[in-house]
Amino acid sequence: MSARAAAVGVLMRRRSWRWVEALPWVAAIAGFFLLPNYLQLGTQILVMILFALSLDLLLGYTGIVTLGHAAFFGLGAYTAGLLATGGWHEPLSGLVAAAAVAAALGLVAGFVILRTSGLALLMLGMAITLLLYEVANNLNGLTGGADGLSGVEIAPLLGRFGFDMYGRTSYLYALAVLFVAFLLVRAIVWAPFGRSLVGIRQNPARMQAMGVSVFARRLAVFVLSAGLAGLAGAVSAQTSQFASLDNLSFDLSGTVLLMLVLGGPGRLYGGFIGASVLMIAQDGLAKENPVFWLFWLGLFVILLVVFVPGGLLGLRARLGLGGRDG
Amino acid sequence: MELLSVATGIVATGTAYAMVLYIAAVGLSVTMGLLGIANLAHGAFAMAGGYAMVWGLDRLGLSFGVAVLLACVLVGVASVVMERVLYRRFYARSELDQVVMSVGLLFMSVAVAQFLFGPSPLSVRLPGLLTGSVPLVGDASLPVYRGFLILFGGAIFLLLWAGIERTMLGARIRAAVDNRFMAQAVGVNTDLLFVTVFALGSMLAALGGALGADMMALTPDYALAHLVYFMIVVAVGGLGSVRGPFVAALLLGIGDTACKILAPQAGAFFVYVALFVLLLARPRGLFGRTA
Amino acid sequence: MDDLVLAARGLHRSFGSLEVACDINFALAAGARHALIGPNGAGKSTLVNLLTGALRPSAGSIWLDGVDVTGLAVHQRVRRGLARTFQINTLLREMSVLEGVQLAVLERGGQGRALLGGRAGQRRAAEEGFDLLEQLGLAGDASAIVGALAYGRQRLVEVAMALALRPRVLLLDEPAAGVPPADSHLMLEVIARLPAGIAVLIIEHDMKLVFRFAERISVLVAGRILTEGSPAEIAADPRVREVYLGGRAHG
Ligand SMILES: Nc1ncnc2c1ncn2[C@@H]1O[C@H](COP(=O)(O)OP(=O)(O)OP(=O)(O)O)[C@@H](O)[C@H]1O
Ligand SMILES: [Mg+2]
Repeated sequence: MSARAAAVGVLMRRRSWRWVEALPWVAAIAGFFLLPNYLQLGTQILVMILFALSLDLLLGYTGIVTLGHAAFFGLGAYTAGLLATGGWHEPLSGLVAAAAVAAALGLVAGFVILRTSGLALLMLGMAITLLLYEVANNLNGLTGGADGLSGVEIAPLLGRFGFDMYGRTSYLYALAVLFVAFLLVRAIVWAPFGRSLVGIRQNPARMQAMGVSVFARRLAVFVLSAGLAGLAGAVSAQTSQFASLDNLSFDLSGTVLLMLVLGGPGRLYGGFIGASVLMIAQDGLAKENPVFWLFWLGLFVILLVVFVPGGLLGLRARLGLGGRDG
Repeated sequence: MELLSVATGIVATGTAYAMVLYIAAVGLSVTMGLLGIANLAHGAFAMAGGYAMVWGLDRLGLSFGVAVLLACVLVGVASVVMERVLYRRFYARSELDQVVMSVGLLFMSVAVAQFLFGPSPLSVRLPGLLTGSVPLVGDASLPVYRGFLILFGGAIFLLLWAGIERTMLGARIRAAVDNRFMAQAVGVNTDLLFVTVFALGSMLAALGGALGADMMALTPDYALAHLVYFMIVVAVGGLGSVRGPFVAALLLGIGDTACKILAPQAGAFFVYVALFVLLLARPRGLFGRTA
Repeated sequence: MDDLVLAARGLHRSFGSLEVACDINFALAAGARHALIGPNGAGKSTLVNLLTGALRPSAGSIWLDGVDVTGLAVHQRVRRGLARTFQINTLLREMSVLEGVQLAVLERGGQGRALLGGRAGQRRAAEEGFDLLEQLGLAGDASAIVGALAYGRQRLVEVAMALALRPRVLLLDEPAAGVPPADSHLMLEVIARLPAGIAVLIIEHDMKLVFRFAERISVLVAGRILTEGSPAEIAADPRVREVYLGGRAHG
């Protein structure tokens, strides 16, 4: 084989699937059969993985640090919830609508937010979340205000599979949505567009010198990421049949960021690990005392960034156990 | 007449609020602009100052002035420890690492405050001298304490402006930040300088938290609840400046008060919309140093 | 006039009270080999930044192929055939050399916007990128991570990234600066063998290189073009000599 074919082959093979990538999905399906009492928690984990995946596009791949991603999650949750309370019970169209609305907000918000950088960018992300929070809180006739939006009734999936009280349909539904979204994101990050995002993260000036409109690329990924976050919010509202102001909180933006950072940003699977670890730990610890949970969570991530930069997947790569960088 | 007294009330209350925001947030502008660290946990130092003062007043029976002083000293000492143990490691780290670390601290501050002081808001006993109010135009009157805040905030501003933007210390700080290596080469002790700046910023926060406890209630989620307003003051005012945040705090304090009095339901909404419009027009804030 | 691919008319720019570009007029014909010399801090990099659009002039205009591009952003000028290298390496440090060049090839073809798929295009771009690296003597480093390369090699990667764009105008900002003598002959060869059709402007302190390569030379001093001429004219010009010998000599 020529040197050229070898070098090109190395580059091209990174796109191909590896067998370890089946692992999370096998685990998720095994969980369905082995842990029937934990399907509700499992569904929440799947939702958070999807949410973290949306953030990974923005933060891990493009290098845009934001603390306002809950805005899009919450908007998706309320959109899906309000569609259902308004009489539109079909779940899949609800998902699409929620993702579209969140993406539209992403376009408008991103247009302003992405012109800024650093502190102003962080602040505007938080401000857009608070803005939606105020709206949702004030329209309490429509949204239920501080009590949250309850009575979200969802029609059976594909007209056949009802959302039962054991949460089986919810779990499989969330898993299926995550899987489809994951296929999409995986294709995007390895396509030329996704590679250019990584280039922008590493050096925007270089990408600009290649003829790339950095602003337009960033805006495009912002819209995509917002849409996916909205999708996660919609799945959350549909499977829990509830949306609340917590979906629009700083805590949620902060938590999803910590999940991604814990798992390892820019590696596609960081959210899988981070969301699972933190949600399971929270389920164990926060029942006793939710405030102490915040303490341990805070301490844990501080130790993590001090001693394990790059997250758990980064650790794996640093120990030479393989794993590739996006 | 009615209109005039409402307007006067808004300006007076808004200015007092602005002074609290300014004192609590300007330290963030200084640490972030000069040390380059995105310290979102800045509000936790303000909260610590507030709680320390209430503790001094209620438990130790100190007088108001002494309690405020104690709060600043305690937070100052704590911040030196934090800088040496934690923050120092983050000066050269990525923005993401800094944000994650400070979000971790924010979450911890909520838990610690609730553990030590309970979930309900604490009230502050003001000294007799600072209670009561003076009549202004029409029905409007100004609580003496708010008048005190306005004067005090103005004094702090002048002090900082004179101290940082026009002295040798300020020049040294700015030189060290622009080029740490060069500053070291010409014999500036940057380690000491950075600790000093960090402690100064944190003590300012403590002062704001203590003096403002009357207007910005002390609750365990203080640092989270007010974070965005602190960030607005700094981001709109411009990093590393002491003048910009002053103007930004005035705009925000008065604007926010006006919106909340005139449109109690949707008040905050207008503030955020105005913010987006402003940053669309001026992405670097009002007085931002061009990077 | 018609064969001018790049022209600047009356450019002005200051940083605060420091005037770094003052009434700069300058043109490159197709296939030109032009050098820009001048002492440190004369404003050479600033001029490159003005030409590429990284900085906005306070007055004056910039023309590419007879079209006024003064109002265009950096990336729009690149898409019209204007490429540059940076005085300080500006690379995708965590990627392999080949991937960086592949990205540049893809962007040249406008394929970087492809949200999905693009596998065949990526393969072709990587192959083309490899051929380019081979011409620059970088084939052996194709799979190496850019940030791990020696500085001199990274300088070559800078040039490779620019050439991958197949520009019609190439601005080289001190390409050989910082390259250890053992490697510098590689850079000299690369520069000597640049495709004839490209108009090249090179900023360089090494006079040997300048006089070997350039057909015309401009001398920039304190933000103004002191003189422009053939190498022989410049070598004989007493003012230039004074700038270099009387002032802050370099190289
Ligand atoms: N962004 C900036 N802000 C302020 N001053 C600047 C800026 N960029 C450059 N300068 C100043 O402008 C002057 C010209 O700089 P420039 O980099 O163009 O010089 P140069 O001719 O390329 O020098 P060298 O040979 O050292 O590369 C210098 O005095 C420099 O300090
Ligand atoms: Mg230069």
